[in-house]
Formats: sequence, C-alpha cells, structure tokens
Amino acid sequence: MNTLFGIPTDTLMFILLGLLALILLGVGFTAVRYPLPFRLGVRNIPRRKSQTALIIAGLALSTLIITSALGVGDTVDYSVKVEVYDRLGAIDQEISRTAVTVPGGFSFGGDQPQADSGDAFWFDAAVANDVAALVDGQTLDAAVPVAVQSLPVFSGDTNLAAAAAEIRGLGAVAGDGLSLPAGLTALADDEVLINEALALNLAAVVGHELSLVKGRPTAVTVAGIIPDGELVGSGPAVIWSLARAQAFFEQEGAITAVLVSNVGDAETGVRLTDNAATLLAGVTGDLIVNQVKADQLQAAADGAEQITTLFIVFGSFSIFSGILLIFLIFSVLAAERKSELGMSRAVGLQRADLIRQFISEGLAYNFLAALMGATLGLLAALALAQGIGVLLSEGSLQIVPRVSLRSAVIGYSLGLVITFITVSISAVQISQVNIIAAIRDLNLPSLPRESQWVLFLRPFLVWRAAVAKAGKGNVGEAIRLFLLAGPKAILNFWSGLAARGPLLLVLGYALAWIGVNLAGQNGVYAMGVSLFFIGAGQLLHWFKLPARFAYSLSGLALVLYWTLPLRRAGALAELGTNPGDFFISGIFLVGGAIMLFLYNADSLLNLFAGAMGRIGRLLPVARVAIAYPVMNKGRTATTLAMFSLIIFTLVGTTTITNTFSNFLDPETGSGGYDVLVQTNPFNPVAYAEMETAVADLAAAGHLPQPEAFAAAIFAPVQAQSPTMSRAANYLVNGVDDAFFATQRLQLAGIAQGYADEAAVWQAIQSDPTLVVIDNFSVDRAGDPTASVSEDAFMISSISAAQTTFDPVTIAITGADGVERPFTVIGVVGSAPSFYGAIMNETAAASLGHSQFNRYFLRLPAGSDARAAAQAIEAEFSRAGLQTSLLKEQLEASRASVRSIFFLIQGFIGLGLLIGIAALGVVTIRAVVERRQQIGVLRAIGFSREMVQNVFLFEGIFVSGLAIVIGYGLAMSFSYNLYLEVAADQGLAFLPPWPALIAIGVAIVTASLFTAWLPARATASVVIAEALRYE
Amino acid sequence: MSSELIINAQEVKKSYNTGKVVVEALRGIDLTVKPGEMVAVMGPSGCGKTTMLNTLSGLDSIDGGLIEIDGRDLAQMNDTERTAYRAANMGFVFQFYNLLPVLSAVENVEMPLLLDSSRRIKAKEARQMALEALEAVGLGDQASQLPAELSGGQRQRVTIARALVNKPAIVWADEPTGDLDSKTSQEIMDLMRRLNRENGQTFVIVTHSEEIGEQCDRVVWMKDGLVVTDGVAEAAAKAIPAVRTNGPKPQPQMQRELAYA
Repeated sequence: MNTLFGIPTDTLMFILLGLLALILLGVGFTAVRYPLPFRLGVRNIPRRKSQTALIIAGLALSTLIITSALGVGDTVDYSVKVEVYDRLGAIDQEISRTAVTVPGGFSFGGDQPQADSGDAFWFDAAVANDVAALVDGQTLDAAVPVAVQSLPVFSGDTNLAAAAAEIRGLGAVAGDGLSLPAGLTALADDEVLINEALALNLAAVVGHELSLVKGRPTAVTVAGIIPDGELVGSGPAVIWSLARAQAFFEQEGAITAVLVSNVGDAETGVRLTDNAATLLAGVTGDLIVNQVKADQLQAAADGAEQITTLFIVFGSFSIFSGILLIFLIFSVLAAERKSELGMSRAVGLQRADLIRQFISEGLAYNFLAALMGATLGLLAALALAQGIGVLLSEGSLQIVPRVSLRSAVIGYSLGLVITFITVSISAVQISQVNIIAAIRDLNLPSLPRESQWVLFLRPFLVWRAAVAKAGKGNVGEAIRLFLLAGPKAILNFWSGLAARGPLLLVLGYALAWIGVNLAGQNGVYAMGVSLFFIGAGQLLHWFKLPARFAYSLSGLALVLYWTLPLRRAGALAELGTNPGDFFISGIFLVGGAIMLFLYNADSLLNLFAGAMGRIGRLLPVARVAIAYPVMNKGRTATTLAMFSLIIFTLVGTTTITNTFSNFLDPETGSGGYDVLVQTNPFNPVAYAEMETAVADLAAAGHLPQPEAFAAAIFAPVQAQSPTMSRAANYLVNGVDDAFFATQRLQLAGIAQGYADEAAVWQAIQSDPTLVVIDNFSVDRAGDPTASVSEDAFMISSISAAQTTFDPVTIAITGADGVERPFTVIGVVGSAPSFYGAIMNETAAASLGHSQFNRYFLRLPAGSDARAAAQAIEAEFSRAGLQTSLLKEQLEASRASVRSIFFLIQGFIGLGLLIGIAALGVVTIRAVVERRQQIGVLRAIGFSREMVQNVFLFEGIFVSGLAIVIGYGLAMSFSYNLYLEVAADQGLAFLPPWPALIAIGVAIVTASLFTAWLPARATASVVIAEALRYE
Repeated sequence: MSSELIINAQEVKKSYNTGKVVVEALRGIDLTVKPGEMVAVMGPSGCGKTTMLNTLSGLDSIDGGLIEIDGRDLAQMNDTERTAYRAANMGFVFQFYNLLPVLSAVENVEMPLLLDSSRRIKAKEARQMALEALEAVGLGDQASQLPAELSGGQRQRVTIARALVNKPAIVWADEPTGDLDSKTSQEIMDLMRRLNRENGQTFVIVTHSEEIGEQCDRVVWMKDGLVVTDGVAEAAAKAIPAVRTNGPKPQPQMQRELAYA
C-alpha cells in the first residue's frame, strides 16, 4: 500500500520515525539530566501491577486498531498483486480494439454478462508486425499476436462441458521476454494444448478428445496440459497456433490482441509502462493500448487503500475513545496521587519536574503498549483480511498474509506518538496542582480568568519591561522576557480568545467559507459550522449569559445541525464528501449531546430521582448514585463520550448497512426473473427452440412450469449523450412483448410527461424510439460505490437521485454504422443484469440486431432455480449456453456487503472494550475515593446491598445515558442520511431492531458486570475503618 | 439489666491485627449511660475513645464483652438488622462533618428519614421534616447549598441536623468541634446542649476539649483502652489532671467506684 489518506506511506513513515526519534531523545535527555523525576515516574510501574496492566491495555488499543487497519490493506494489496502477477506473468500491455475491464473492488451485482462479440474484436494482424519492430530490448522485450474467442468445449471422454472456454491462438513471439508453451509448434492438425483450469473443469487428461462447438462440433485431441497464466490465460483455455485459430474463426490475417512485455521480469517490467505506452501509441492507431498490469496493480493498491481507509475511519472512533481513556486514566492517576504530588512540590520538585515524571512514566507504558498493540494488530489484520478475502471474492482470491515493515513501523510509531501527545497534555494538566490543595485534598475554586484587555496589553508590557531591563544593562533578563515571557503572554492572549469564543467563531466561519468556496468539501464546511456554534456559546457566556443557557444553546445547535436534513440542503448538496466526514459528524454530534446533558444534568437528576423515588427504597440509592456522576462533570463527560461515540458508530453502521443493503432488492433488481439464459454468439438458440425446450423440460418434470418466459436481444452498440464528446461502448436490450408484460423492474426516475412507471413501459413497448437506461449510466455524484470509467457512456444531466427529469435524446449507432436518435424516458433502479438501454425488439432490429440471445424465466415461488438452470444447461450443453441465477446472485451480493459491514462492526466493537474499561476505571476509582463516604452511608443506615446498588446504579446510569445518546443520535443521523440519499429511490428505513436490541443488551450486561466487580468490594468495607480513611 | 440504662457496656474488648502487631484498642471497658444524659468521652490520642464510640454504636464489632442499647444486644443482630436499628435509633456527628458532598444540605439531612424503613416516611414529608431540622439548627435559608458552599460551622450544623432529624434515642458525636474555631465550637456545643435538653436525647461526645467536657453531664476519661475516671463533669474534671500526669494504672473496680461518685 503506497498511500494513506492520499499521503505517501513512505513519507508518513519517515515523519513518524522522526517524531519518534525526537521523543526518544527528549526522554533520554530527561533520564540523564533529570534522573530524580525520571526515577520517580518509572518506579510506579512495577509497584502497581494491576493498574499498569489496565493502562497498557488501554494504550495498546489505539495501536492495535491502526496496525490492524494497515495490515488489512497490506494483505489485500499483496494478495491481489500476487494474483495479477500469476495471471499476467511478464505481460504488461495488451493492444486491442476494446478497453480491458479491471477486475477487483466491490461488486454489487455479480458479473456483467457480455454481449455478442461478432467481428468487433478482430483487427489487422499487420499491427503485430509494427509492434514487433519496436521490440528493442530497451523498453519492450517481447510481443505476441493472439486471437482469443470463447466457445463451449465438451469432453466426450468424461461427458463434462465448459460453457465458455477461451480458444487462444498464439502467434510467433518477437523478442525474448515471453515464450510460447512447450509443444505448441509441434502440435498435429487435430491436436491442442489445454491449460490446467480447463483440465480441471473437464477432468481431462492427455489423449482425451474434446469438441469445440462453433455451430457444429470440431474434434481435437489433448496433446498436453500446461500451467495457467501469462500467454495461456488463467481461465479455462484451449491453446493452439494463431494460424489455426484464424482459420477456425474464419478470420484470416486478423487477430484480437497483441500482448506486449516490457524489459524486466513479471514485477519490474511494469515500471516502463509509461514509456512503452508512448512508444506503442505511434503504431497502434485507433486501437487501445491497455496498460493491463499497471492498471490492475493500481486497482489493487486503490482497493487496499479504500479498505484501509474504511477501517481507519470506523476505527478512528475507537482511537479517539482510546485517547479519552488515556486522559481519564491519567486524571485518575493524578487524583490518586494528589497528596503525593503536593508533597513532592512542597519538598522542592518544580512543576516541570512533575511533567517529566508523568511523561517518563507514560512513555514507559507507551513502549510496552505500542509493542503489544502492534503485535495484536498484525494478528487481527490477518484474521480480518482473511474474512474480507472470502467475502469479497467468494473464495476466488487467495489471501496471502503480508504486513510490510513500513506498516508495522507506521502502526507502532503512530500509536506511540498519539499516546505520547495525550500523556504529555495530561502531564501538563496534572502539574498545575496547587500544593496546599493537593496535600489537604481540597477543591479550591479556580481563579477568575484575566480580562481580555489585560491579556491583550500584557505582551506590550512585557516587551516594554524587556527594553527597560536592556537599558539598565540587564541583558540576560531582557532576553528572557523577550524570548520566553513575551511569547507566553501572546499565547495567553490567544488562549483567552479561544476560551471566550471569538477564536472559534472566526475559525468556524473561515472553515465554512473554505469548505464551500475553496475545498468544495462538506466535511470542512460542516466542521466550520460546528466550531462556529461552540464559539457562539462561549461568546454568549462571555457576555454574561449563564453557562447553562449558553452551552445548552451550543449543544442543541450541534445536535440539530447534525441530525436535521437541512444540513445538506440547496447548494450544499453539491459539496463533495469523503469517509472522514462520518468521524467529524460523530464527534460533534456526540459532543453536542453531552454538552446539552451536562449543563442540564440537575433537571435530569431530579426527574430521574423523582421517578426512582416511587419505587420503594430506591430513592436514597438513586439520589446518591446519580448525584456523583452529575457532580463529576469532567469524568462523566469523558466516560459518556467514549461510550456514546462507539455506540453511535456501531448502531449507525448497523442501521445504515441494513437500510442500504436493500439497495440491491433481489425482486426488482432481477426484474422478477429467477433464471437468465444467455446463448453463445457462435451457437445461437432461436426463440422457438428455447420455448419448446423449456416446455418439454417442464413437461418432463425437469423444471417447474415457468410463470413467465421472456426474451431479449442483447447487443453491443456505440452511444453518445449530448454532453459526451464522443461515442462510447454501450449495450442495448431489445425486449419482447412478454418481457413488457412480466418484468418487475423498478424505475428510479421517469421523464416529465409520463404519469407513472406503467406509462413509461407502455410507451417503450409501442414506440421504437424510446428507451429506459440503467442507473449506472447517470450522474451518481456523492455515491461512494460509483466508479465509472471516463470512457463509459454517461448522461450527466440526469442524477440518480432525481425521481423525475426532462427527457434526453441520445444517439445510438448499431451494426450498420448509422447513428439513430433515441429518447430516454426512464432510469431503471439498481438492476446490474440489465445494464444498457432497454428498448423494444423493433428498435433493436433497427440497429441491426434481431437474434434473441437472452431468455428470462420466472419460476413458481419455492422452486429450485439452480436445478432448473442446470436442466436447461444440460439440454443445450453443446451450444455453450450459460445460465445465471439472478435473484440468487443479488442475494449473495447483498449478503457479501452485509458480511463486510458485519466484519467492520466487529472491528468497531473493539472500541466498546474501551468504553467498558473506562467504566471499570471510573468505578474502581470511585470505590477508593469514596471509601469514607461509604462509611458514612453505612453509618446513617445504608445496608451493604444498598451501597453496592449505589455503584451498580451509577454504572447503569452512565451506560444507560450513553446508550440513549448513542442510539438516539445514530438513529436520527441514519434517518437523515437515508432521507438524503436513499428515500428517493423507494427504499425503506429499516433499523435492524433485533440486532440493535442485542447490542444494547450486550452493552448493559458488560457495563453491569464491570461496575459490579468493584461494587462488590464495598461490601467488605468496615464502617469504622472507612470513617477514619482519608 | 436496668431498663433505665440506654447504654450498657460490660467488659468490652476490641483489638486490631495489623498483620505485624496486635493493638488492643479496648481492654475491657465498662460504661453505662442513662437516657437523656450528655456524656463526654475524653482522653489522650490513641486511648480508644473513637473505638469505643464505634463499637457502642454498632459501627464496629467487638472481640468480647456485652453491649446493650436500650436493652437490645447489638451482637445478636445481623448486619441488616443492626443497620436498620442504627437508621431508626441513632444519629452521628463526625469531626470532618462527613456530609455527602454531592447532595445539598437538605438532601443530606433527609437521607436518614428516607432510610428509616420502620416509619415509611414519604419523600415530601421527609423533605418538610429536613427543612424543619435545618431551621432548628439555624440553616433554614441554606437548604439548597452544597456542603462545599458552606463554612465549617454550617457544615457541622447540617451534620447535627442530619443526626437529629429522625429523632434518634442516641446521638454519637466524634470530635464534633475538632475542626472548628473556639467561637463556632461553643455555638455547636450550645446547639447540642439545647437539643439535648429540649428533646431528651442521649448524647455521647468524644472530645479532646475540656471546655466541651465541662458542659456535659458526665465525663468519661480513658487511657490505654480503659475507662479510668467516670463521673459528673465537675468531679471528673478534678480527677483529670492526676490521671493525665502519672496516676495509677486504672482497674475496672476503681472505675466502677468512680462512677456516679
């Protein structure tokens, strides 16, 4: 994997290594120069073993998540590349008449069936001679002319058939970079070689007789079985000479491709792709130089980066929660050692020494934690990649475990740097301890902040003092004032502005403006708006509005902004989006909700306590239990944020996945047909023949009587929309009347002037100038699954989100080369098997295509579609007829998408461990901190069980509140997203309630257990001892 | 056992095992207190005053001896019964107030009422009674303040209000004025004395302060885990200097003779 978030991974690695080196140098310097604080810090590690274990586990999670995400990317990247190298061997370019599609990436509809090939792929073999002339050993080291077509191949010895085996004719090799399979030139006229894939398919061995079916069977004998890959191809293939292929296909002097190898081996040759392409462009005319290897390697890298980004974006919530956990752990550590810190300060340790002490301790944890996290991350990566490999390619991609040293270094260093920064900030906060307050465990009120005017004037006063000192000859003091006190005063001025609102207000406005006008990114704009809301709240508070009202307004504004559909209304809908937006939304949404809660906690407390008070003796328990988290706002907010963020992500992802997976509705996506039968272009099966065969098979009980039988003419054309500069390859489906009568396709958009879908279909059936097109060929801006080649047919004036549009006239050129106008009056919803324009059969005939080559069958509910398809294939085995199970394929695609998100949900679930650990940390600390208060509670009449219940109740309260916030926000956010993207497409909002309830129950159970463990310890508290405890 | 005694402790022993040494905190004390008495327990640090208060009130267990409160043997009760008994019949005042910092003054005061299962007081009624208790200690207008927002004297008044709100038979006070200045200490003492006289409740006050001791009905002087003098405040006060300096090692018999001298 070469880039992450667009940043070259090499650059990222060197930056992180540089930072790591700086950190190590700094800490090394501290250890040597300030040994006492270093020793004071490090000595805590072996003394508090259980605490150390908890801290290391918390710190390790960030590294684990980062490393596993990178490792998944590496493994997927490498596995796809290995497959590309195996398949293409030394071949780097393929010259042909058509663009070679790049395999890989997410597939939402199974394979696209290919239309008839006809003569479209053949071109003059003389081109191969021109290419051969370029083989100079400098850039190109080999070129081979080939002729490849697909045909059914049947084995008389085993009675097995391959419906579409490649018949590969290989010409003479120019240069030494490629070599023909051994034995090819010695083949007799009735002999062929086959590759291992075909041998496996047909259970063929040397000496078996095969039939190549092109209209009528041609018998050949297997003279040898050769390994797959390179010139031989990786799919089932029959190999013979180019001359025999040309004669067999009656294409004398023509070929379908020239395969070219660059200087270098299978892996290194690709580096010369650009040079080779330039060289070849001079002799290939209007042929396409497909950079097959470079494109496929790039696709592998892109796919790997997409997967890594996906995992890092979803993992970022866990990473953020991990950072909060570190803050929480260190604030708890500081609280625990408050008097120790006060004493240290009292006996002479400087504030900076306390920082050094905590950083030394923190870094020692970090080294261990990052190592543990990186190791576990690599293991998690392998497991995840294996899962993805199985799900994405249904087992066809062999996952090769691979984690680059670079990724391991990035994972370890990034985890360590993140935690180091977090620990450093915590250490600075801790060092602000007031000596007396710490020793006596007092909570002194914080001093009022200086006025902004004072902060504004101070730098000038400092500089004036510096000048005065210099004037008096005290240069050292003058320099200190100028270089240290001056910048500090400036920093204080800006931090004052940041705390009072103007800074965030201006920054927010600037970001929003940049988001719209420069970056064109919704994420930047929305972040700006959010910061503006927070700044506005601060400003209102600065202008004397009580904090409760000011920050409640900010929180409410954030929640409403991120949950209401207004966010992307009007021109804002045009802004670009990226996966990181989800993270931004989660942070601000949850932050807003927590602000709203914390500043109105008292009311909530009264409400809750009032409700609880009606249930027997729960009132005292509830009151005490809720009062503590409400009082400890900072700690509660941190714990809530951790829990809520993870729950928000988990519930949001689950709901969105469930809703959007219905994008592939098997019923409408298949047109309501169970089986698609596609004939081989060389062995056509006429309508009457197919209809009779199906009827006979049904009569014989080999397949159920079909409820619907329809036919289509599926053919390649050239098509051009008004906004395209030139025509592009496209497909048409000329369907019969039975199709119009029985199809169940759903139209995502219909043209103005047509009342409904029925009106559109009726118009197309009767008018041969009207068509509907697929929704892959319209503008799908904002859809992350959209991936359209620049050369593809596209009507950019129709958006996939539009339910109505103005009719668009396109030009379609058929087999006769004549351009004809057609009017688009509808856009089919997601139906991958119906890619292309759908028109009536008269329209297809006008384009020069009149032979039906696709047949659709709808079977009675509950029928075995697979058995029916096999019966038809068996009946027409020698014709090379292929069947597809339309509904089943869509179901499988949907299951694949769901499974991948299920995997991601599991990954997000890792973050829940952080939330639960946080609850554990808080509860354990609470039991220790409140030991004396436990004594008081017991003295005034709380039984042991009641005291335990206080802690349990507190745990339930915090996790319950997090569930309410997380679920509430996730639901409203998902619904908003649904309204924005999917509602227009006729999809229903479908939260998977059983899964959501299960997640909630699991969270509550885990939280209860986590709170119960320390709560149990309260039972053993001896009242008299607790009352003495300080 | 005389029913006139609200506290009857005989040969009470209590030791603490710290793992390395065994500390005998109470070495066989005897103490009897009549209803409505205000008794001061005094003695040097570490003599067992607080341990005695904790064991007599049932906050801590004993190793030997007998403790009866209003005729009931606390050792015969299980933890739940003892807790319920404490909630209904005892009030506590501690040196460092020990209010729940997260609850307001009135919420702190009403807590014993909500916990008293024998009376089943409704929340509304409990709130009214707590406000009246705060009024009685002069803090009617500070009911909604959190402890951190009150002065030391005010906090101790809240503690006293909490101790008295459910009208317990006995109030145990452990150094109730230990953290207060002399003026505030006297105010608190006056308040306790007034409530003692008005309500007839028994007060057992552990204190270092001779001024506080002198204002009680009796002073029990302890040393090394034993009661060494026990008598009316004035008589005990006279015996205190001798005991404090180099008096003979006290014997149980001697204590009984001193009692009610």
